[in-house]
Amino acid sequence: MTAHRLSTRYRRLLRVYPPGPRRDELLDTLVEAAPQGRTRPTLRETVNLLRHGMRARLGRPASRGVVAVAVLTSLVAGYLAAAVAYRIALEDAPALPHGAELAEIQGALFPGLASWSEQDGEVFSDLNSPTVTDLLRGGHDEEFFYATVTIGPRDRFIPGDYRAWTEQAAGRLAAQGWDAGEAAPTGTTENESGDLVLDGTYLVARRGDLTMELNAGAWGVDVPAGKFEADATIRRFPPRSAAVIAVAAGLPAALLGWLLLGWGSRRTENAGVQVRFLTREPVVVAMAVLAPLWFSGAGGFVAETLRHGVVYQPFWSMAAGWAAGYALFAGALCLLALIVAAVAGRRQPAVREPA
Amino acid sequence: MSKAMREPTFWILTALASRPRHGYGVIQQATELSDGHVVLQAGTLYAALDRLHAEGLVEPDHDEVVDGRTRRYYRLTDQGAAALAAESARLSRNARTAAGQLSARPAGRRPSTQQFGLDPA
Repeated sequence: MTAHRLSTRYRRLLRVYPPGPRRDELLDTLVEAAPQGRTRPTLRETVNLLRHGMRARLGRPASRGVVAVAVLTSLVAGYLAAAVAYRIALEDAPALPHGAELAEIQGALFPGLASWSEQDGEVFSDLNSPTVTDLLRGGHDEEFFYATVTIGPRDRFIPGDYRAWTEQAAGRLAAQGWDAGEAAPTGTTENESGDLVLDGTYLVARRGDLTMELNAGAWGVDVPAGKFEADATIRRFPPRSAAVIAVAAGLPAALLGWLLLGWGSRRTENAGVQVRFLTREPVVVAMAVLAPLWFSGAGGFVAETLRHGVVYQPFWSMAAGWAAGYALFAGALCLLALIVAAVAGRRQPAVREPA
Repeated sequence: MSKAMREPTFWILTALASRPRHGYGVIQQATELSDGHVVLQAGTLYAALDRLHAEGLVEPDHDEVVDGRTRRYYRLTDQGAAALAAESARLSRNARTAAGQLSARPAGRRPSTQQFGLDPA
């Protein structure tokens, strides 16, 4: 009974290997090697079988190149699926503050003053509206950010000192549950010596998934004495559920990419030159085209996050500059390779039958 | 100069040198011959067998069915035997060189080569 239970568990674990006699062969070895009384695979065995089973899925046991291409395929497939899922999830993200919520914020910042508000974008604030042709040829530039709502006093100038006002505004925001950071001095002009004239303050406040950037200062030459200008830009970060959805889509897609590549690789492992040329080369070219998309997207996002602490863009924004036409071309090459593998390839045993 | 073999590869080929063996037989033999220093995991063994087969160093010998499960035996090819012989010679040369260098150390600081099974002669 114990041996049967162990055998069943091994058999389940061995599904990580491609279908074929190798599963049976491994089962025999594992069962024979197991000490009496063992009822389940050890952790070490499990990790070892998962690792080598996934490698066996790729075929071509003496090749390191197939592993490199599989890793790239997996990364790109997972990244693209996660990006699409994240973008779809953003459609259901909560709206920016509006109505009573916005009026409350306006009241805290500009009490007793009439104020205006302007929302830029629904999901993204985008300076450009490229056509489909533009996107295919050159992609989308990186200048798009999560949508914003900006508020300011209707009368452009506020009487008083901007430093004192910023301090008071931070206090009023804190009373509304905002976590206001330290006000930092800013400047927009230089004096004769080239030093920046500090004529403003900048403050970041956070409440839940909302981030507010508050600017106040006596900028420019037309500011009347004893007055200043101020405005606040509010962004809402996407909910965590969007990230969860992206991961939930990205991981299976990465696995699927690995398995599909392995399936095609095994089917064409011993095929003739023509079949290999129509499967291996297209996939290698496709990955050479798509890999920079992943490196620029994922790498760029990590680098920006490390540099600024926070990025007001989705994780795939740096990859948006990649022409969609290249991605479609690479996708077509992968499709060609899959079709050729399905039609002209055939299932190969892991090891040739005994003579 | 040929590339040094990885240790599991060396012991798998060594285990198959005298006669064909099936998976568990290779694991047992490798453990025994290496004085328990090498305990091959099943996944590692079959990954290595696949690679060695692709390189022409081992090949399937025959199949048996035991308790309804396929048991495949593998044997060393002539090419595999040559590769193992070359690796053995390389290791022997290395060992002789190291033992010779150790014997040149001052007497008081020389480790006992017999203790480690090394003989510079």
